[in-house]
Amino acid sequence: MVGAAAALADSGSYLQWGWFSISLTNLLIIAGMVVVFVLALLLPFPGGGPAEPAPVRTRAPADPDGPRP
Amino acid sequence: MSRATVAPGTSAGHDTWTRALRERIERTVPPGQALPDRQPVYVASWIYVFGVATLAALFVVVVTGGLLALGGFEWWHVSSLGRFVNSLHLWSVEIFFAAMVIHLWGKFWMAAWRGGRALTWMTGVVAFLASIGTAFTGYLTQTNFDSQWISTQAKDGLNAVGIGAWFNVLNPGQMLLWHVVLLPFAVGLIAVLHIVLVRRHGVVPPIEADGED
Ligand code: HEM
Repeated sequence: MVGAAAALADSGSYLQWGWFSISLTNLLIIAGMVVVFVLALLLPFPGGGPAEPAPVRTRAPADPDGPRP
Repeated sequence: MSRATVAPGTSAGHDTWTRALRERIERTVPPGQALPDRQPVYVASWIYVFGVATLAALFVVVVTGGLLALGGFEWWHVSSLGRFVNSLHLWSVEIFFAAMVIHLWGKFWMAAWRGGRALTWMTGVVAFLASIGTAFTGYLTQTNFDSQWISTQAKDGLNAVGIGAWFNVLNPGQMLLWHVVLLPFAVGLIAVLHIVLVRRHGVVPPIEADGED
């Protein structure tokens, strides 16, 4: 953690693979976003309780004007 | 009978633009779906929170930006309160972008453009591009050495790709107005359209539950 903070404070750290280069700060931020994304998919959403069958509505009921753009 | 004496609601056609507009607004979102308090079960997942997290961050960005505009640049450079509000503005922008990109990933992997939702996706794309422009002009609006450096680098880049004649990133007045008027207006407008479209179509069913595509 302290190491990571020190790396962030030093804006000069860059990683390089051939033509591709990225600052360590940006790489850590992108990695953090991927972690948040995966957690959002895996962690249970609170307050749902036992799944109640809510009406699945994907269209306006009986739309006289036909499909909506 | 002249048109002026027709009782309200009895006229058959779209004979005034006021009436046509009213009917258009009423038809845009199905009745009761503008602010629903029930959603299908599959919406009970953290991934659906990121759209509204983006919206909440955008709200903080706009409010703190308004405070910065009230104070002016001496205030946000010198006073501790001004610097605090400046930091709130910067960090709410960071959260706005992180939430927007996670939202984008979620919608990409659930193919949320299915079932006539292409326009929802495309307004999202335009919101993303307009937000990038707003953020970049924000860097030019800092009024410090950083913004001078960024503007000269950007000028070379924009000239190199052939769009340098259309606007001038070295013109602080122009870039300030783009950042505080033109581009926030564009982002706000497209975000409203995006959310109206989400309410118009309802949340897309998961791929495995979707029989119609
Ligand atoms: C200003 C930035 C944005 C804001 C405020 C915003 C807000 C929202 C909100 C509140 C929702 C409904 C809740 C949800 O499903 O998360 C939504 C849905 C959606 N967003 Fe965004 N969004 C933004 C940018 C984007 C971007 C960049 C994309 C992709 C390019 C995108 C694609 C979508 C799609 C396809 C849906 C519909 C999902 C469905 O019908 O189930 N949005 N957005």
